[in-house]
This record gives sequence, C-alpha cells and structure tokens, in this order.
Amino acid sequence: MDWVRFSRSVYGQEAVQGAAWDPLWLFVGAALAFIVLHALWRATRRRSKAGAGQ
Amino acid sequence: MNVPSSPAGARTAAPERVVRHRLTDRFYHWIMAVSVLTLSVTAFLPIVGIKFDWVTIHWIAGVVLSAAVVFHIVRALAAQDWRAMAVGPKALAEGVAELEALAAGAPPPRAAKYPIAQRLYHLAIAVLVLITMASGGLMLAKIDTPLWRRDPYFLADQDWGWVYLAHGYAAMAILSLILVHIYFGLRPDKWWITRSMIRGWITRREYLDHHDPARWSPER
Repeated sequence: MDWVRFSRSVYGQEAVQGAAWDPLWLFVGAALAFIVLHALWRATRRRSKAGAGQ
Repeated sequence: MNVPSSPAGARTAAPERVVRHRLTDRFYHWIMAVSVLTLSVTAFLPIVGIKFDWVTIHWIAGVVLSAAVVFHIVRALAAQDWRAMAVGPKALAEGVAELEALAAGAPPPRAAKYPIAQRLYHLAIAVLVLITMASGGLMLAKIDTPLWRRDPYFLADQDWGWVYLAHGYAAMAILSLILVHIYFGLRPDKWWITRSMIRGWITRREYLDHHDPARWSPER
C-alpha cells in the first residue's frame, strides 16, 4: 500500500506529490469498526443492565 | 445568575426549556455540515471512480467553510465562553472519572455544558479543519476563478507536494470523524443533543439528567 505519491522531475529528482489514496479505506474502515464496536458494546451493556433489573 | 446549590434548587431554578445552542450557532453548525459534506463528496467521489467536474464546487464550498470557521472563531472568542469547549487538565480529569464510572457500571458524572467526548471531538475536528483550510487556501493559487488568476509558481513543486499531502491526510481523517459524528447524532440515546442542534433547546429533565447545574447555568 502506498502512503505518499511521488513524482520524478526531468532531472531525476524525486519529490512528494501528495497523499496516496490507498489509506482512504483505512480511515473509512477504522471509523466503521469504531461504530460497530461501540454499538455492540452499548447493546451488550443495555442487555446486562436489563438482566440485572429483572 | 445564582447557581443552584442543590438538585432540588436546580429543579426549581431551571426553565422548562434550557437553551443549549443559539440560532447563530445552529446556523453556523449546519452551514459547516453542508459545506464539509459537499467538500467530502467532491473530493472523494472522483477518487473512487465517479468522475465529474468537481473543482469549482469544491473550492467554493471550501471558501464558504473557511468564512464560517473564521466567523465561529471570532464569535467564540469575543462573545462566548470558549472555555466551555476547551480541553485542559480539568476536562481530562473529567474524562478519567467518566471512564472509571463506565468501568464500574455506574452512571457517568454529569457534565458542564459540553461532555468531555464532545470537547475532544471538537478539538480533533478543529485541528483537522484548520489544516485543510490553510492548505486549501494555498491551493486556491493553482486555479483560475472570477476573483483571481492562477499562479502555480507561488510555491516550488516539492513544497506543493507537502501542501497536498497535508490536505489529503487531514481530509481523510475528517471523513472518519464525519462518519462517527453522524453515528452519534443518529443514536437514540443522543437524540436529545441532535434535537438541541435543530431546536436550540433541551428540556429541563434532559438538563438535569446530563448536566451539572453547578457548572452550567442555563440562559434566561
């Protein structure tokens, strides 16, 4: 996976061109993973509270 | 205003509707929301293969967002209590106390105007938006608009690369935060906060359940 895009000048010098877009899916995936884990944690907590109340 | 010293005092002192966000602040929030979503769509759809003429919409949305953010900063510093949103040692201690309560299965301690999670989110999004604003502002020099002519030699090639790098990574991180923000905004247990960003107020019950009247007195 590339993190940074590079360009090469006519003199052969490499320079940073910008962000590579491969990590875009990492950022989206991290957010979705957080959302799923949080939702599961809250649902589990609610269920255990309801169980304790019975 | 006198701060109620007891929950009973707070119950009688708090109005039926407690103002949480004034109209100006709600207006700012929704302008920011629309412009950030427009920026995200115009930035990332072409990257995932949906091609369209995105540059004009993108830079205009960026200018709108920048103007709104500058307005918000001036208003927060001049006309509002910016400390209510600040993250300092006291706020972090609140965060630790909240985590300890969660671990013990106890209800979290009541917050001042903004809970620690909201303050940390605000800090993160503020830093990232300021990075995209600064880098995006520089990138405006590379496009022709009705207001100015492009000057791509404003920076050297390798310097432009770093500007694009900062803009790209800050934008990807903002996308993550947007997804998390929408998730919390849609969660039923957080609807009272979402509603307050539409109507401006929360009920007395919500105020007393979630806020510490000794640390946040409602407006009258």
